[in-house]
Amino acid sequence: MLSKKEKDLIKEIWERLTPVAAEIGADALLRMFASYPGTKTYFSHVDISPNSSHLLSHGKKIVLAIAEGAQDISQLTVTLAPLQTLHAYQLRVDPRNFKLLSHSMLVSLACYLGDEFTPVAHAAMDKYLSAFAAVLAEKYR
Amino acid sequence: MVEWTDAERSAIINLWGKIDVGEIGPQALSRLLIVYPWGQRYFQAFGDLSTNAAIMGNPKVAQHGKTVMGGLENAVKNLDNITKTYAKLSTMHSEKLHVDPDNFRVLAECISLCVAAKFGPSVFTAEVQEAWQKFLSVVVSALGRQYH
Repeated sequence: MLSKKEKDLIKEIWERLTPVAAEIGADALLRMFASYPGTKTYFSHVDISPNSSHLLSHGKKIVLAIAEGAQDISQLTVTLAPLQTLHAYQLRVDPRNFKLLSHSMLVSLACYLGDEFTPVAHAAMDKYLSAFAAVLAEKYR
Repeated sequence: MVEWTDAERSAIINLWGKIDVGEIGPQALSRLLIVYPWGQRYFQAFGDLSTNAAIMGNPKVAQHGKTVMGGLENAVKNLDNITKTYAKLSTMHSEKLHVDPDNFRVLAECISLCVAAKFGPSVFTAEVQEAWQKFLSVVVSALGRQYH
C-alpha cells in the first residue's frame, strides 16, 4: 500500500526525471540486458547497443509511461489500459521480466540520485514499480 | 562450477576493494528491514525496529549488517569455491536460524542498490553490475544449497 506521502514523493521524483527520460531509460535497459541476457531475446530485431537510437527512444518511452502513471497512481488501471492490451496480445513479454526491469530501473535511480535514494524513496519506488508491473500484466490471462 | 571471465574477476575484486563493509553492510540490512518489513521476523531480539529511524539507528542492526557484509570477504577470496566456503553457514541458516532463503536474494538486491547509490554510474557500470550481481547470486545460491 502506498501512503499519500509516498505517492507525492514518487510523483515528484518522476516529474524531475522526465527531462532525462531517454538517458535513464536507456541506462536501465542496458543494465537489464547485461545482467539478464534472456531479456535480449525480445529485441533480436533491433539494435540495442549503447547509444543506439532504438535504445534511447525505447528507454524514453518506458520512463515516460512510468512517469505518467505516477501522476495519479490511483488511476493506474485506466492510464495503462492501452499498454496492458499491447503487452498481453502483441508483445507477450513474459511478466517475470518486469521484475528484472524494475530492479534495473532501481539501480539506475540509485546511481542517478545517490544520497537522495533514501530507504524511504527506495521502498516507495519498489512498491510503485511492483504495482505498475502487476497492472501491466492484468490482461495476460 | 562457476565460470568467471577475467573481466568479471577483476570487476568483482576491484569493486570489493572500494567497499567499506562497516558502511554498506548496515545500510543494506537497514534497507531490507525497511523496504521488506516482513524480514523483521528474524530480528525480534534486536530491540526497537518500529520506525525507519529506529532501524537505521539500531546498533544491533548495524553490527549484524557489518558481519554479514564482512562475510562476503570469504567469497571474494574463494571465487572458485563459493559453494564449499558457505556450506556451514548454509546449514546454520537452514537448521538453526530457519531463514527463508528468498531473503538472501532480497538482501543481495539491497546490497547492489547501496553500492550503486554510493559509487554512481561511472564506477557501477552495467558491466560491473553484471559481474557483481553474478557474484552475489552465486553466494545466495550457496547459502541456500544445504536446505532440505
